[in-house]
Amino acid sequence: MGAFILRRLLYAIPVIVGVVTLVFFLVHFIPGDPIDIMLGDAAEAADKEVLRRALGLHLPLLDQYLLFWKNIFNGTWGTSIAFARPVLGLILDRFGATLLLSFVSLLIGIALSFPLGVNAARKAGTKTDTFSVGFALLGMSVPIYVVAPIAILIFSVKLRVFPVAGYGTWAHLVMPTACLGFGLSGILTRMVRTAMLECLGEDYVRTARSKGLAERDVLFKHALRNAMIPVLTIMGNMLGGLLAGAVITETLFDWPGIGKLFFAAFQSRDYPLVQGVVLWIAISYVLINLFVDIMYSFFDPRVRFES
Amino acid sequence: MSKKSRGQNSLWIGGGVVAAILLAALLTPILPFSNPEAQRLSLQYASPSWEHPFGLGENGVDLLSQVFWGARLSLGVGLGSVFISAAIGLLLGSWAGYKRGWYDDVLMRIVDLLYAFPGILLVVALAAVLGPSVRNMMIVMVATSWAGYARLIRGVTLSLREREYVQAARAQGASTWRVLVHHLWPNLLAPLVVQMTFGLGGAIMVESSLSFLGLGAPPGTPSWGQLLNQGREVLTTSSHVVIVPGLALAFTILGLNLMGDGLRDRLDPKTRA
Repeated sequence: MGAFILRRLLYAIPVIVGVVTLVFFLVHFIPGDPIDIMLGDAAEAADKEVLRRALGLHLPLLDQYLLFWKNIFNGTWGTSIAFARPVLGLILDRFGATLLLSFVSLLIGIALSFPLGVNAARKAGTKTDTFSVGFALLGMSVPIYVVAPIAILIFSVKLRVFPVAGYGTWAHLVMPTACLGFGLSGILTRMVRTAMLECLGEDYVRTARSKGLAERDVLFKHALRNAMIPVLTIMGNMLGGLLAGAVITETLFDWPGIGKLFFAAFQSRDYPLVQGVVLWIAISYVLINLFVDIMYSFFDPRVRFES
Repeated sequence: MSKKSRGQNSLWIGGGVVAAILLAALLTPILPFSNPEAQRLSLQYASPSWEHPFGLGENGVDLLSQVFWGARLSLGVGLGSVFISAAIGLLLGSWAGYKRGWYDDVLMRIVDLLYAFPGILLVVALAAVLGPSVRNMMIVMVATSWAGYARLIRGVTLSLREREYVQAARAQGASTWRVLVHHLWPNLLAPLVVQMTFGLGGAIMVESSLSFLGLGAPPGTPSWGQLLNQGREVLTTSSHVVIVPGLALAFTILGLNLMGDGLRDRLDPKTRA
């Protein structure tokens, strides 16, 4: 397995370098000068030049590109223009909030979707099934910027149970994670139901039933375990997307995560910060996909890493 | 309810909702709505009334008129970007799947690169680069969604190219272009149409997300995303400003997803999720 992980990490390097290089040149083509944005149009040309030199923005593009990689290896990831702080430190500060939001939302999504999806497949064609399919459709169709204001209106404004927005206490966590988790549960319910439906029709499930196993064991030890492969893939994609920052959720609930940081960095043309966040996201994407691949073998021992 | 009849119901209900919204969007210019941009400052955020059944929004704009004009924007941008993306995906994907070789390798590496990064961030980044306008929004949506179509079409083409009718055409000396247009494309249409239906729902979500973040339609253009963003500020006092465009958006995407499910059951039983 060690060799497999090493090979996967080596394969990931060109993809990460490709994404980061693409974004480096992309951000430099954004109309608008970060110096103008920071100092304002009225600033003296000499002051602008001093700042430009201090930030290394006077260098040719290729030199700036090499400097960017040099900063990666010295552990600062460069200095943010807008925050005047090392990029890696800024990212690490925000990552905790994003990690919390991601994991709790995904857990809520799983807690809602697994019972619904498994039950729907077990009782295919009944009202339970129709309810689950309807729930899944609703979760997939109503975007968070529609769900969240309605939830805020009910739970924060009318009932006053949870704060409208912000970060810091457990109460602040409930609304953003519940809204995000609802959306995730839509897609997950659908995936669990479809995968379970397929597995329940397989020979090994018939064998398990005919040898008199309890229905619970048939469902969870035989069918669900096999159904996990496609569900895991989707969950990996979701987690990757969530860790990259839920821009809209973080904006809606004023949550200080990676998504908001990325958005702010782009708006202020903070090149080093944009590049740093992109690199961070690309790395976390690769690691999550690797983790998902390792999990495959846990659920399905037939998956061999050498193949 | 059997799976088949549920598929039929999905198709009819979803198709009905989508047709109604399309018709409304098409007829908006000739329907007797007030000018969507007309301002009634003294009536800003007024609740629904007989005169303004959906109430008024920021600067006193009529929400009924805004929601209908917003439908035109959402569907226009959505349909435009979906058709262009699907056309690019069909062309590149079927060529790569049929010809294979270095061209296929290069295309798939580009697709992998686009998939190595979360979609919404790429959309936000590109939109920030290009600036808010309807045309730029379409460019962003095409740039980030063609790869999905290309990947799907390439995959289906890979299996179709081994079929006897394709091999027969090739044996008769048909050119690549002829095999693609006459033999492969007609058989690629079913999965493509299903993907486009779901894609339209996705495109409308992207359009409203961008407008919500202020990166989509320029300020003042009637757009559901912009209305939702404005409504957020006055949620506690005038909730109709959020609820009206929110419901319009939710119904449209719900209708498209239902229709996509029904179409998939009917046209493309093999790729059922």
